[in-house]
Amino acid sequence: MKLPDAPARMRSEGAPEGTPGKGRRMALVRNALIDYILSTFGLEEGELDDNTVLFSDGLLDSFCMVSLISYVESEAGITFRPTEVNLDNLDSVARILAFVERKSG
Amino acid sequence: MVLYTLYDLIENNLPDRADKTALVLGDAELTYGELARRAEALAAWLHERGIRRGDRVAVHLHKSIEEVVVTFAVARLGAIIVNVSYQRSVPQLEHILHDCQVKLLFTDRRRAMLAEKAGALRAIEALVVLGRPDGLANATGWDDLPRSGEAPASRPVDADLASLHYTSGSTGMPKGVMTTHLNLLDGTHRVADYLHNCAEDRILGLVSLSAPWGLLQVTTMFLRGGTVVLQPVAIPSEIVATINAKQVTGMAAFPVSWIEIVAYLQQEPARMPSLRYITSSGGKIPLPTLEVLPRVLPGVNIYLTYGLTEAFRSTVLPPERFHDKMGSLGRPCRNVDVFIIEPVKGVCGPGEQGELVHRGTLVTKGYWGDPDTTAKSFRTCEALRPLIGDEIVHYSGDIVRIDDEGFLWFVERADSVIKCSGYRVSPTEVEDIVQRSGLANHVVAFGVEDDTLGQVVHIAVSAEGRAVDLAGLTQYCRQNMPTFMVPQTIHVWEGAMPIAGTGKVDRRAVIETCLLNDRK
Repeated sequence: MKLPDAPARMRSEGAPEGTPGKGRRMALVRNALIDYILSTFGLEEGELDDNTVLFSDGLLDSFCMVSLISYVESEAGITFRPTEVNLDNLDSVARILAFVERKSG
Repeated sequence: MVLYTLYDLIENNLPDRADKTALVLGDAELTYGELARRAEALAAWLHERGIRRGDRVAVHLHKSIEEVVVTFAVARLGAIIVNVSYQRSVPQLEHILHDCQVKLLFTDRRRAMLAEKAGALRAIEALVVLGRPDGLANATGWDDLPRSGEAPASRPVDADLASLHYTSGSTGMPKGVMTTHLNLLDGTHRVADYLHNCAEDRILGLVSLSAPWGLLQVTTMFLRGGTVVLQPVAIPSEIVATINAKQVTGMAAFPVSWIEIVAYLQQEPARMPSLRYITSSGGKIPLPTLEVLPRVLPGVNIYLTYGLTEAFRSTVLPPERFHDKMGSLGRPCRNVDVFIIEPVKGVCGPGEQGELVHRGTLVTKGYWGDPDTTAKSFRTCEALRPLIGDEIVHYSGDIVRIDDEGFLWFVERADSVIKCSGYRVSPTEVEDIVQRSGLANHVVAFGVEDDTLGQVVHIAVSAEGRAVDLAGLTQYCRQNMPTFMVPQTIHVWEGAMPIAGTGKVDRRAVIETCLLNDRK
């Protein structure tokens, strides 16, 4: 799947997150993932727990999915195959963490 | 039975197909008979709550069976359905509720809480909530609505407004396109005709019902007695799975979805034996994707089409001409007049280019509450006077070329409207929101070509001496704009922006400088 970058791609200095080098195995931390989703997609605290449905009820849209995948890929040092971009692997924080664990393990 | 209004489309199926499945969503199915019963009961309740012919009722829901029931219940009463895309932001929802004085809103608990907290629900009289209604003013829970009831026998006429479809122009906030039952039925007949829809069809309902084109997915199936398989998420792997699990025969999507689906199928070829046709609208599919499309979908008929919210289902490129006219908008559909008008030459012929102008039943009634903007694109045409007198036609704002066989080719937009992922974005709406952040003195928004999304939004900002708070500005945009509107790139303009003769910022100079820097 050809995907654009995160919603606000800034060419000037001051970009909020650094991008770790590809290929390095890194950990995806639950709290950091939740913080990322809350701040990037403008959700409010209390709206999100491990099992909140992210996409199939429309909480997040496909633009958000693109950013979320880039984030998970760079944090965890993994790559989603096209067939792995599905609701089973992405529709909640718990599912994302489980997928990353399977993929890294 | 002659079909005049939206609700007739359901009723027409009752004698022979009451037990046939009209809607599918996951494991849930609804027959035509059950759909009619639910819509009738809801119409009766709405009437009891004081909703009358001509009143505006809004629905702001993720793709669901309830969204369809609400649409047809409102149509049954002769009230006007205002479907606010679930992708829109709370400030846009508030604008729309206020702009057309919506009396009653259907939404889910989460959106209702967000909207109420932002003070966006002050203008409406009542609320129906999917989920718990407690803690919300004047709210009724969907599950507490009566399951049966009969609405008054009186019906709307086909000249009544059936819906308002909010879309953006080159300036200001989204405007509601006034659409009659006749506009919708006419478009429905045309689409079902060129797609050869039949009762055996099961089409994927992927496109949002907030766009007429999305609503037509439902109405074409109801016209022919087929089935709509609602698809809530636009993920290629999930779409392929639904098509095979539910034996889908046809599918409509915007170019952005086709680009993703083609890229997916190139890497993960999938057989979809039930699929008979696909159709696209809402912008150009890039040539590399078009070239691959027939290979990844062998044996599937491809219909490329063109139409606008203001004049829908206008031209179609039939499958048999897909290869030799690749990239064309096709030719006018049946029962549609399309003229290419050039200010000096008048009506254009083969080899010439000008603005695409629509004439006929497909022309909608203009923008709700905004006669001035309406008059700019809905007006008489001097060059057409010998043919149609002073009839109102619709100026599309799209410059097209006509070839020697009468096929139309898109050239460019005549205005500055930005088209991202099938949504029209007004540069001035983006600029107004950025201004309100208080983080920029001057801002210019513009569209930049993008391989996947058609165009993306860029902004140039100057803070005149102060450093621009990029992180803060990005955060503000994300919180106050729908995702398709959020700028992909922020160009920081050092010092003051150039001023044009009128004393305003010289937009053209700013945009050209940014684009030039981009290329370096």
